[in-house]
Amino acid sequence: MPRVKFQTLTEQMFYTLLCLREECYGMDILDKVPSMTGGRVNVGSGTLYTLLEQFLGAGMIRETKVEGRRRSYILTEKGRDMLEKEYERICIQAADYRRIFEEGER
Amino acid sequence: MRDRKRRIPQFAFYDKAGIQAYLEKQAEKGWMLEKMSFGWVFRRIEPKKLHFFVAYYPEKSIFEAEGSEAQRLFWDFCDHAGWKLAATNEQMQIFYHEGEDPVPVETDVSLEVEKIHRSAKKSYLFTYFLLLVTFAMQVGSFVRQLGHDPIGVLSDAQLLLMAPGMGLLGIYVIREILRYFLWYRRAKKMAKEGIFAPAKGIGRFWNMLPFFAGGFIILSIACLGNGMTMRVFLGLLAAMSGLTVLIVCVSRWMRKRRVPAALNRITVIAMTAGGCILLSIGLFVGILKGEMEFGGEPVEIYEYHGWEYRVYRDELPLTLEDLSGEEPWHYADRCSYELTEKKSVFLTKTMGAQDSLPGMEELPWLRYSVTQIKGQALYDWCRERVLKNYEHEQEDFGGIVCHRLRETDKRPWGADAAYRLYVGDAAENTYVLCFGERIVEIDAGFEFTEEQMAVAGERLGR
Repeated sequence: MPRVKFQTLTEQMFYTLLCLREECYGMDILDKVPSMTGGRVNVGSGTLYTLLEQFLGAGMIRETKVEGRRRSYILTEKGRDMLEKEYERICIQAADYRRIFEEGER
Repeated sequence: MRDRKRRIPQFAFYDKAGIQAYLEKQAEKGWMLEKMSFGWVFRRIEPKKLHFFVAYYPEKSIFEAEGSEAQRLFWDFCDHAGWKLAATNEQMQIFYHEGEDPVPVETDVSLEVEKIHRSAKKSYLFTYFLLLVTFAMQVGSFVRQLGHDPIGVLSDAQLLLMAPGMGLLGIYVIREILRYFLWYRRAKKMAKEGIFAPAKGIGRFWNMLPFFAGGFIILSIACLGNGMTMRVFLGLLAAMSGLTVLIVCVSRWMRKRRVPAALNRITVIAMTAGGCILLSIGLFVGILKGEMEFGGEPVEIYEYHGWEYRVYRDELPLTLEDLSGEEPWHYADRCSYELTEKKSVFLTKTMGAQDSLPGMEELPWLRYSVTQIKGQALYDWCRERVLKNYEHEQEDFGGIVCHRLRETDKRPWGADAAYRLYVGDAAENTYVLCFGERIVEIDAGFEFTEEQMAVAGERLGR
């Protein structure tokens, strides 16, 4: 079954939104994500371009500055909620993991 | 040593792995992709190991200038990551990277597959669907014609060669569309695992198929001969090509001047529609003015009350003189004798007509066709269709009049079977005669005597 758009976030979506907690140029996200994750996660330039377009369209981020072609963005309330939900989902997953393995060890 | 080369690589639109590998190999040999239009143009460089990435930018419209603000922003993103633009072709954007192990332009396979699909719908699939509709219409028309008038179709060598050409192209297009959708289904499934589904190669045989089809189409055009049909065909081809070049040039000029895409699109549609209407009017007026006579070369043009009539002096297998016992060409000063022949591997159809010229002492007309068919099965089918085509109902002064063929005495004709046309209960001087594998249709402006039937049967049936 196809994934409902943004119901869950991929790692790349998650970290892109996380970068936009503070105002940030789109292009800078390309460097921020790997440094934020110790190089574990990279976002391709084409993928980032598409994600920013989609996030803008969904109202999850908004444009703050346009200097020529350079644009900066920041997270909106809706985007923040999506991140929060994703965080909770990951926490639940982690809790389930712990519960099941701790029960198994007892 | 030349520093440029042009290649026409055969890759499916979505075969990005194949294209990337090909370009990397070319770079290792010292050739860098520079342009993608009318083939791919490569320029000479120092041989080196480069990474290539085929990205798709579905927002690009063919009516929009290359390098819109949004597209440049996309290039800027790639440039920031070290990916330099090599060449673009509408939605397809090809980048190269000189680094060791670069982060790919696309790192989310699902997103990438959807971008390819949106791009394909705009260009690749759109073109193929358009071609498919054209071929389907051609094939539909051919099958309908064949069912209704097998002799007409099977005696037309040009149509018979055009049909397999169109059929092969149709099969190629259907296969390409199916191949794409199978790949797309597989690609969506594999994208969930984070794997980009590779596209399968087109295959050597299938690669050659459009060339075979082109061969049939060229042969069919050659069948048009040197007459008016060929001149009209070449004229139309030249006019259509001129119109296409004009539209492409205007659209490109508008793109360069950065005219809005919507205005460019409207201009192209208006020019296409206007050009087609003008061509149709030109063809219609040409036919009306009699400048496009499709028969053979007449010996003279006869003028009567401002109208021109083409006069022929062809040797006919049966003439009014044969039937009336006059000397050959006795009516030559007031008649035209026209013979036309259509031939294919299946059958030969010969048509004769002796018509009196207007303003002259009127003579009855004599028209006939003789179809020699190869093979009993084909003969049976054609005969059945010919007999059926005579039978129809026609509205006449508020009533319905039936056109029916009735079997008549075959002996005077010396035929195997003879049929006469009746409109209602009135007998017409129209006959269908069967001789071995030959069908003769004869229509005259007089009642045949038994002697005339014998002469006609002798001349046309044996």
